[in-house]
Amino acid sequence: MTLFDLSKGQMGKILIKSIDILEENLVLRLSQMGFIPGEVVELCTTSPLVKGSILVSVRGARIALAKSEALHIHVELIS
Amino acid sequence: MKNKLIALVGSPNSGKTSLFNALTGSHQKVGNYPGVTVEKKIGEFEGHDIVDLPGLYSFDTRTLDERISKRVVLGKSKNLPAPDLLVVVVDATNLKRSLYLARELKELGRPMIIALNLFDLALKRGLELDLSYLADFFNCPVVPTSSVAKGGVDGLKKSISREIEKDAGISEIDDKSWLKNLRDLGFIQKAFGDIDRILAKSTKKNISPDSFTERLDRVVLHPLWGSVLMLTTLVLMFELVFEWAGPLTEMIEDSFSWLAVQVNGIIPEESLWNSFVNDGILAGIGGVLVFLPQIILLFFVIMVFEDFGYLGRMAFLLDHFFRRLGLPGKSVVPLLSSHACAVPGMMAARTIENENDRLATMLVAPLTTCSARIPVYTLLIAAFIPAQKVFGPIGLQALVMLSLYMLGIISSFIMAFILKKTILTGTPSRLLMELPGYKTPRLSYVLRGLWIRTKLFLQKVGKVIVVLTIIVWALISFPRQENGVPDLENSYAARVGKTLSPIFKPLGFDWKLTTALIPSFGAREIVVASLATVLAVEGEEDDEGFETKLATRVKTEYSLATILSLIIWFVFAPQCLSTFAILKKESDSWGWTVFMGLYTTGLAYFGSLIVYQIFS
Repeated sequence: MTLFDLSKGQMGKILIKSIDILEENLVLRLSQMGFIPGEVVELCTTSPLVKGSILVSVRGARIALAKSEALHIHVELIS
Repeated sequence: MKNKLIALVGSPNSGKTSLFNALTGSHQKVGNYPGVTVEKKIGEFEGHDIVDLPGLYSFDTRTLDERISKRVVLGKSKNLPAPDLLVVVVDATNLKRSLYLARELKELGRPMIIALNLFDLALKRGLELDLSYLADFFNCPVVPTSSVAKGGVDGLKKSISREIEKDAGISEIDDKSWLKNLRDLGFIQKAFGDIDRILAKSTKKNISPDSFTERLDRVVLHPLWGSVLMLTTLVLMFELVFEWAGPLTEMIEDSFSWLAVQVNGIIPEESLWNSFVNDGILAGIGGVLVFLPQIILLFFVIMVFEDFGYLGRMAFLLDHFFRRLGLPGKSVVPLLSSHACAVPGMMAARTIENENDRLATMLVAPLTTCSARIPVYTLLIAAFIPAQKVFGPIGLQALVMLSLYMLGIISSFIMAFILKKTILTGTPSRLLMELPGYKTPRLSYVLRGLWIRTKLFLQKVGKVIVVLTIIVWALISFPRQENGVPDLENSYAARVGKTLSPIFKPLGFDWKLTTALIPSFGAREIVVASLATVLAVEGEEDDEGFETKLATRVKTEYSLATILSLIIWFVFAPQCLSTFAILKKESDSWGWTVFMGLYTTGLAYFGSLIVYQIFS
């Protein structure tokens, strides 16, 4: 499951499993923002009309990211 | 004692600048870093210099502003020595995230102090922290601060005075390996791990979540209601700005016509000097000041939105839509600001990381309706659009004005789309941005930002307008007839207008209109005055009824097709010289500057041509 597949109000804890992005700069940037394996994430909201971008909370910060990135962040659900 | 340098570093929302203001009071000077228009803010603290660096989340930098912070910290800035002491400002309400920057700096091993800013807010939300663990881990003083609470920076002041006296001496740093290490995934994971471990040890009571932000975001970022709210806010914003700016603009106009009367009392009305002072200098300065109310009000609202945290949310809401055009959501801030004045608007594009996106945003920014175009639109609308009511209270004239605004916005979108599809290709910058918690907008912050932008307008745009008004005056006033009376038909301006007139004939412009257009390349707003001059409308610009007289004159002289063609010309034609100057500076390229001139002229010419041919 990826970050993009999360739905609002999902129960349980969501942990980041891995990031499969080839672009090194982007991986670094995501990591510096706290997207690293083992971190807890939560979906806050999605963009209007079409689900094109999402807002998630990670390490106490609310971070907006686009579908293109969210699709490559794999998560796992721990109930 | 040697005068030392203290550098304030921190993430964008750590309240770093308010802390800087609290530390330095009014002892500040604002300049620019060499070669770039990034603000360099230096203040004085107990005889030492203190510099407020642009905010950043990591020293593995991406934007222009961030690179400047990195260079200063590493002592690589051309006109600043290496700082003797770093004050790392972190947001105490979110230590899990904000301590990361401090963790990076810990590796650098420079003398530093960690300021846990917004500590009062964190306490209110229940945080209980044992600072000694943090101080041990980072091996530096850790001080709680607040730029709002009374005495909130006393501790930091004491700590700075103590640390700056210690002569640690700056050891040579191997910044290459430091920076390389920051780009190591292992380091990043370890850094966050360290932070979690230290926080677990030192936290006695966890901070409660920011429930205000969470609740407000549920509405503001709601997929449906969020968009409705945003559109309503934008419409209300423009409506209020124009409503409030009206009386202020009138006041400025009135005082300038009063001044003109005073001049007439001192210098005889027929003399060249009277004309020079009134139609040259005063018209120029008045022409600049007249825009101030609108620009200030619009920027005031934008700054309030920014400080409140709404601007970032707008970028999130619009990102998907903008992305279809090929622009990132972040373009919303420059494009919105350009409605006040494109010069600060284009500078606001700096937060866009991708160079092609930044260029595309800057290139289309002048297509949006800046406040300088309003007088021209108002005049032309008054001349040709009947003042009748259509849908209930809404007048037809207002509707046309609104359509011109929409035309500006839509054409900037289309142009951006074309640019991104053809020459400035590539996927738009990542959205990836933090939406900070909502804050009560701070008046001091808003006023300071307002001052910076207004100053920019006055310095960059104002000078150009004043100088050009004088040049235009000279072109129109010379050569004089033998009896000293100005002879417009044979003036230098008219000669140029007549020479160019064959080119503009297909657009429906005669030599008089063409002549009036010449100064518009310098600054749009001069057109109203020059139109009055070439059409020989009697009376001072600030006279009551002047606009009506001019409007009537335009109406009798020109056909509807010509007026529509002229309006279209003004929607697209190259904006004032200042936009070119700022594009040259921000893009560091003559090529793009020339390109902007060519494409806007092309759009204006063919747009007007089509409109004129259809309606005539």
